[in-house]
Amino acid sequence: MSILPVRLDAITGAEPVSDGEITGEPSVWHRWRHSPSAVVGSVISAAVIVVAIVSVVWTPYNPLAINMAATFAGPSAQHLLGTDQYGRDVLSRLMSGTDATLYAGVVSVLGAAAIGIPAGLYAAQRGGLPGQLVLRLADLVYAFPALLVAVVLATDFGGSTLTVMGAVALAFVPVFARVTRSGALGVLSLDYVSAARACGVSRTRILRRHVLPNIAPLLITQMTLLLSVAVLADAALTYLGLGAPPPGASWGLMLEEAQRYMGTDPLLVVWPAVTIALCVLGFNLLGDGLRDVFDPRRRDR
Amino acid sequence: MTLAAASVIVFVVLAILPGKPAEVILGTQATPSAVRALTDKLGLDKPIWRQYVDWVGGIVSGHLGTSYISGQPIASELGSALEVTGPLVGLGLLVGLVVAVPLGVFSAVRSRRASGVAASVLNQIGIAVPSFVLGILLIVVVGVELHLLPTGGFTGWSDPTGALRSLVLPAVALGVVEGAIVGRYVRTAVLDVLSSDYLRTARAKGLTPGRALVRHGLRNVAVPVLTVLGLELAGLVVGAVIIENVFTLPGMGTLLLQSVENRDLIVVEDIVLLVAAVVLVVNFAVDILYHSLDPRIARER
Repeated sequence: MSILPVRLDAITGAEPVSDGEITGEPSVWHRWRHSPSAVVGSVISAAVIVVAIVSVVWTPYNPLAINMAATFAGPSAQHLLGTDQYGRDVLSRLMSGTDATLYAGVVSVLGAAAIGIPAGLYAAQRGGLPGQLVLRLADLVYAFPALLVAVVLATDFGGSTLTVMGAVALAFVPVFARVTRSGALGVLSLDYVSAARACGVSRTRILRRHVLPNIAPLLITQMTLLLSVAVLADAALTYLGLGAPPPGASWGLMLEEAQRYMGTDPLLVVWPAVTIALCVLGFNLLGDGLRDVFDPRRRDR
Repeated sequence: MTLAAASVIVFVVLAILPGKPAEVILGTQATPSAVRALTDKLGLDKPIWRQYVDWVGGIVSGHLGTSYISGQPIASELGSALEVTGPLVGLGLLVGLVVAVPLGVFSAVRSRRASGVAASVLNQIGIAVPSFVLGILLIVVVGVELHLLPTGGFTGWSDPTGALRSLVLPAVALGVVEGAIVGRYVRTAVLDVLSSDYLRTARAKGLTPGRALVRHGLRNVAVPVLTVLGLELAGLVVGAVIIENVFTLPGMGTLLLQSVENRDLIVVEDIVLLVAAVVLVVNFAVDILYHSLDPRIARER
């Protein structure tokens, strides 16, 4: 029942990472250069991250500064992307939104990983009833898409960045649990793990020394792909009013406001739309590219 | 089983709300006695487990309860909302298929040529643009600039042409994005089939590439694609919630967010459970379908 974009079967029997390069295998750097997804994806992702960092210390204007004398100004030398209905600088708001979106995305992905990965390892290691229980629980959580969780959280606590992060993180937990479990099962069935177990190595040590390093590429790829989903979810939930309330600068909010004024200035819709798409595209490509780099057997498929 | 657990979670999480529904309904001016009378009338003074039993009993026997706000039976409100959401999801699925199959097959068959790469790039961009962003862009271009189709509202099915016309743009916005996601799976599946031995045999006995693919390949492609499509159905239902808000369609999603705003708990509970149930049932059906379509999987386990 896997809808995960990762081909889990590909990692079973994967060579141990600690072995380094096997003779005749092209290096990671070589594979990276020859994967268009990886190259384009890292360039876009790097640009997004740089913009987010820069916006913390500097934006062309204060993203919240209202200037009623210059509303709906088109793109010009002063305002590269123009101004919105309150005369706020669109570029500055987009930049500050990048920061907010990335922060929310990274926190929710890491939060989900912190719960999902141990849960998946546990399910793989234990098997039997406890393992099944974890899996059923993951299925149950999986039945609640991030949107529903956000709706419930917003009914309880009102919309906020925390609502969005909590909802997205919760929705990602079962994804991590499943990917980790399938990956770990593959590694646990390998001969050298059996050998280690026969030598009396403890369960936790096997997980830490053998399983985690081997599934790390898989998990990093998954994190990157989920980051793009998080960006998307963040924009959608904020647009629906379940996220941070105005006047903060976030992409979803900018779209919601721009839609109300699209008769006056349709360009206001275009900027955040393009930004969201570019950001999602970047992380998506990076995730695909990482998969190419980490798992060369999947190339050309 | 999972569904029962889901209903408990939905209920408990929503029942421990900070705001008391009666106070929200009556506003800040309400006298304490009026609040008490309404709480009594809504049955909110009963213990939580009793409220839960009443609610679930009602759902099982087809009585979804009465909206706290409008006083209307929820079943009829939900019914008229589903008249919009149902066709929207159906049309979205149709658009998704129309996008996914040709796009995926084309980019796989031409994967080593410029046109195939271009199709893949287009596909990636399609995945990166969230459906609600595409919806807003469609409103701007088709609705505001070209005045071709209605951009919001719904006339009702008494005027079938008008109703269909107002569903066209939302369905396209919903379907294109889901179609792009499924298209990637179609591409992978077709590439798998193209490199298979039986297709080479088919070519060797003199079939043209096109005929070989149609007669021997597509049936094998259908297995993974059908399952992904089933899972995407859940995505479509969630996507419809967002899209309805973009196009102000009086469907389930609009009802859900309105109820969140009004603290109309029982409506939120019903809709959240309904969507979760749809996701669970679809996942289950896909699991069964997967096994019956591809006997190899049953044998592997």
